[in-house]
Amino acid sequence: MLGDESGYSVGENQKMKLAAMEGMYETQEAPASFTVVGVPNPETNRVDYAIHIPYVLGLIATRSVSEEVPGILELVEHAKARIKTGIAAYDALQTIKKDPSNSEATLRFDAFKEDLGFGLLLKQFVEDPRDATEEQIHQAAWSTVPPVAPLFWSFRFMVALGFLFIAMFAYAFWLTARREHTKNRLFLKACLFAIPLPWIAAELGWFVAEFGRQPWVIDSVLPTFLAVSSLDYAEVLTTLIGFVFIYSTLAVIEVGLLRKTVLEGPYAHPPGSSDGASGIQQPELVKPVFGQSGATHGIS
Amino acid sequence: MEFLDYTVLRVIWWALLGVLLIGFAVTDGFDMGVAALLPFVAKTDVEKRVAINTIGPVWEGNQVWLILGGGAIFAAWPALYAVSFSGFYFAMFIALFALILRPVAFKFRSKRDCAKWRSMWDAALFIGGLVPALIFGVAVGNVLLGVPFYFDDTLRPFYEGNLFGLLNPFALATGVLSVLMLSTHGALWLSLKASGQVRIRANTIAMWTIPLVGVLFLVLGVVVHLWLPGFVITSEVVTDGPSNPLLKEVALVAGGWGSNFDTYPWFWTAPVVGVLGLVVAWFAMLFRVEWIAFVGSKLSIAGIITTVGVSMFPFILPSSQDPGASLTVWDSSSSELTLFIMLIATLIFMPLILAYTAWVFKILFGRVTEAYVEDNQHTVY
Repeated sequence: MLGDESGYSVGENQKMKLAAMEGMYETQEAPASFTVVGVPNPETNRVDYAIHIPYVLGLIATRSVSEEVPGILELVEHAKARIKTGIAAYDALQTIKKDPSNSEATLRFDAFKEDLGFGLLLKQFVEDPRDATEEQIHQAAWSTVPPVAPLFWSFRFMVALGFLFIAMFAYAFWLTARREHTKNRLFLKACLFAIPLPWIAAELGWFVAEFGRQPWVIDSVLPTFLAVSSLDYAEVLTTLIGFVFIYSTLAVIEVGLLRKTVLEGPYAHPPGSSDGASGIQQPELVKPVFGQSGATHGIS
Repeated sequence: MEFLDYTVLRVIWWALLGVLLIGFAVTDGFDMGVAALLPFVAKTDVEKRVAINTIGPVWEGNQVWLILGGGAIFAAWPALYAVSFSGFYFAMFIALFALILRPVAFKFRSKRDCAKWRSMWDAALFIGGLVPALIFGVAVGNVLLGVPFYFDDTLRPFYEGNLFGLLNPFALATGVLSVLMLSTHGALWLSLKASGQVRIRANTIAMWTIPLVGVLFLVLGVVVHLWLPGFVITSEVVTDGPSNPLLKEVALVAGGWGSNFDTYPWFWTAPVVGVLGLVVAWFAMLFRVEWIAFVGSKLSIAGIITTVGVSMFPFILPSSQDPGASLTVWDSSSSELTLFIMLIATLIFMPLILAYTAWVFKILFGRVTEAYVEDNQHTVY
């Protein structure tokens, strides 16, 4: 359900991310089909060797059979138009900055302000968006397209893993219901080795979400390059290395400690320990937390 | 809600920020203080565990006040967040590194019987208490001095300083004050909650550090009030305008931070409470009424932090490079709607937080004894 809602809201609000994720260069007739696998080709703006499932994408993204899902090329044309309006918005904004009481400029800005973000995209290529050439507008429009292949494949791997988890759980349920869950050792080993997979699936999902939204930090409002702080590359790299180092060290220590504790076994005191009790050990009950009188207190 | 206009909301959120920072200093302050005092109040393993177990159950709840403070800055004062969290980047990183060590040190320390293992984590706890206390004090000192930043024409902030610029003499002095203040608070907590040698040593330490804090606070207070260049808005103050720091003019005046006390004489309550709290604490310790001493310390911390806040009002983060770009209460806040919604959320959740915190402290009433630690050595910290 969350996934469905997510897909629908991406279809509503971040159309470029959806198109890139699906490698959908051309707008298809509604309802759009879902590409299962293929090789996105940025030279020809097509997906080669594609295998499609009809209607699925249209249903997921628009919850209808008649609404179109726009492709990348159509969205780039939209972006071009919005960039031009964005330039007008930028111009109005500059006028207002110099003279805040200029009501004509304020009205003009209000009319065009939705596209200011698109106008700001031009600042990657030219200092003042009003001086942009057609070539630069074309570049800026294409800059709204994130790299398709990484998104295409990350999304598919994530979904594939998701289906794998469903299949594994279904099989595990089947085995458990038949009380055979200890018999299939191969499957148990597979479950153990599958432990990192949900983490990988989650990271792939985050990758699609964040990478797919580029070049925006707030889609259609604020480009990433204008939202970053004034920290330079060396500072960010240093702290990144620092964090990796700190957390790796802590992870090693933790796993070592976990391993040592697991090897000790589940009883509170190992048999024959110096605490006195010998022979067969009764598992020591955890002491009740608030059992003592007010003189001392317990620890959670 | 007509009385809750933009001006009032801004002042409320400035005050709330102060409350959150005072809450942080009063709660996490004592567990940072205890951790920083660990090598001095505890010499044997059991003594160390006694000290650690006075703060073990409560320290994480206390650190939540820091998160709340950071969150309030992010939500209510986004320009402050942008300039300071990216500007003080390496200082933040060092503080974060120390804070990351804390939960790990608490949890891992007593899980193995090896002496080297335990002393390694004791050192980590010590760093985790001392370093953040020092850095936050250094940060406050730099805020009083102003830090070098400016805005370009798209209102993006550019910070021009570095870590060593932050380690100037005045800021280091405020850092020392912060460490002393929080160590005192920690020592008074230990005299209230610990037993045996730990308690005795904590008492001695407190009797020495309380007057030190008082003297340092007074000296730095005089320096700031009379001599340090303070920032004053010289253009007309518009309190409900848009959050654009570049619309004002600011001048640097020697002793400028003292000017608020002339305009609003009741601001003097803050430093008076700061000093009186210390006096109360010291005499209470003399008569061994530890809980009054601890309350005195809490009041003193509140007074000291409030003194900084009201001296600087309405400035939040002055810019030494371009004084006109300084961030003030009137021009670096979020929108009116944001502040209003967040106020409602705070009014609902803050009482809840205070209520359950009070309940937890009530449950944990009583001293931690060496006998208790020895009886439960596999379950306590």
